[in-house]
Amino acid sequence: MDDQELNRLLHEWKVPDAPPDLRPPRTRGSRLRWFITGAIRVPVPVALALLLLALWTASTRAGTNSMPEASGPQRSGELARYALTGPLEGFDAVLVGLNFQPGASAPEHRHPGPIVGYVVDGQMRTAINHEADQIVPAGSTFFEPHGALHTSFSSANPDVPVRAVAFLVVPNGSPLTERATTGQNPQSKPMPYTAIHRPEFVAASEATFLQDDDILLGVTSGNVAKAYPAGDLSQHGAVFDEVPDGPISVTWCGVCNTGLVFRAEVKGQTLHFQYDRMVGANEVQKDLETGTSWQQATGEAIDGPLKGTRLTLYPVVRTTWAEWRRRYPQTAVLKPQPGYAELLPSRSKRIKDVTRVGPEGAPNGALALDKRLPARETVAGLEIDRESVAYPFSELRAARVVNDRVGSLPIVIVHQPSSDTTTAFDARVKGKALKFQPANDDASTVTDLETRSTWDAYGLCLEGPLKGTQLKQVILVPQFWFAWSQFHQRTRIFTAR
Amino acid sequence: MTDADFQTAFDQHKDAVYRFAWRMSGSAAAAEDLTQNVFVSLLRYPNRYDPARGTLRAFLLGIARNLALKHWRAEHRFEPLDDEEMVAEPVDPDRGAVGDIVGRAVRALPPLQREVVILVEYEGLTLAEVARAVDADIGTIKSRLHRARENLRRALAPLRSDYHVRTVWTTRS
Repeated sequence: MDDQELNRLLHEWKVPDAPPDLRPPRTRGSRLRWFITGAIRVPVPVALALLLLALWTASTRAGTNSMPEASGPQRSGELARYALTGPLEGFDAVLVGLNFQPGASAPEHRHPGPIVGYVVDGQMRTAINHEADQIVPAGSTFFEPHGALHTSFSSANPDVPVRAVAFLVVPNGSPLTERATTGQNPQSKPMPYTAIHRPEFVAASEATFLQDDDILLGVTSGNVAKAYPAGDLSQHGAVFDEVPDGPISVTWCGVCNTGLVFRAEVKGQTLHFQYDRMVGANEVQKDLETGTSWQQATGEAIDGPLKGTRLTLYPVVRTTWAEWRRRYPQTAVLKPQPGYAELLPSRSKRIKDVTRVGPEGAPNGALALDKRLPARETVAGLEIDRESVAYPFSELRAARVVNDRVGSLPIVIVHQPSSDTTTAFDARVKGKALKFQPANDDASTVTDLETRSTWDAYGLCLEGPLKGTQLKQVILVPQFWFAWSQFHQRTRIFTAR
Repeated sequence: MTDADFQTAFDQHKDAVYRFAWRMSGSAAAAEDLTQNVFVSLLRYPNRYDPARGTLRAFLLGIARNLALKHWRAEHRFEPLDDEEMVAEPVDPDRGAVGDIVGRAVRALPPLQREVVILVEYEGLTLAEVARAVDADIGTIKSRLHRARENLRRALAPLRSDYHVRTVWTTRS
């Protein structure tokens, strides 16, 4: 083979240019990033030691008055507060000194951001969400995730005061503590954030605690229909339940606005989940049986004995109480537990509000920001054959019916704007893919173009040649855009033309 | 380097870096990661580029080459980077389109031969530029390129229209 022929052959191999959406690394705010990512270069213990050394020096120089003695934590005595810029714009970094007299304790409270603390002297007793007390000795650190209910916080030793420093990230100008109990208004008393493992249900007629437009997750199995109000789920994180085809876990992450149902079973073992921590502003739940940690938004085991396995999604419909009751009059409804029922109206309202108009910006802790959509726009996510697509609710409300292909599967999505109910189906009947269009304003019925049959929004053919046919449901994952995009970085975004 | 300079550099050279990475790795995902990392490196250490020593394009391809090799070493700890004795196997002419077959043959070369072929034949760098990018002298580059082309000649022989005679190949003579 001569040189010319070899060159000709070599140039048969063509490769693509960089994809148009490939973006340069961010240039601005790089100093800030350098600062924030310092922990990667400087081991955290070393950084903490330096910080403490600086504090020691400062407090020694100023005398003992710089850390005032008190019977509770000295939240008012902030040591420093700085407004952040760049990716954490809108937040303050705050350093506080804590000083407890022997035996003193703080009332139940929450903080509007995560806390990393370090005990300088003495022993701290601490617990969140009514879990068992932990003793943190001098020289150790403690962490409280954002929003955790701090149920115990005191000096562990009745004879020795405790001194600690804590670092918080909170919204600009925000107070550092929210008292959990006001004593005057029992309705605002927060309840422990614990999963329900023995749910109780009431009939639809008894579900007077629900408003027509309250959002819920609906599950059907055999001839059983069950509704789990989102406002209730958001107070527990997970509800374990048994339906005719097995155990399920109904989950909700209030930060991501994500409601998902999983089979609560891995390799034949039934699992009960409990909130553990936040990763990427999304809940991570631990199963009580193996201690494995599961990322709620993806169902993936991120650490523990079952790391690498994935929970199986279970079909679910996110809809309103009126729509679910219309469709399944015999439905059972998760009964709110005492104490939680009082908070249901405000929780439900919040979920309705943020689904319509999400708050600006991504929450603290989000892993990556994909600016193609507002961070808290609600999208219905769908992943098939490793292709992922985000269907923004705003687009679905306009389109109502979407005929699409995801991975190898032709699908149809039906969105009923009046209740924001999104359902999706494999569009094939007897191997042939059908195309659909809305039959009315709310797309409560749709028509297929091939046979002109009429279908309801739940994939059942009501009239026409295909009457009685039921399309196979495809499981959608509704959640805020930041949550979907951080776990599906190459996701396509659907737009209604 | 201002933000605008950086953006210009990215716009002008991202394709070359991406193609090089794609050819070295055979994967779009790896190519995207590597391209990002090359520009992160430029962002962090803009002063390492000295216009007196060559073009920005050659400099960036040099970074890309170092990152690709680092990655390769992490995955193939006990394999040599270059194997002068390596004799390429002839390709199966029926396995896919000609372009894909050629791609597989190039990627089958040991990394140091592969990068020289890609930099010279596909990205059009001169031997001197390649020598600077891979930190070797021109003579070494020349002989690597020669060995690489010989290997490709053998590997791609079955694609010749007049390739009828079955030849028995041994991997080591």
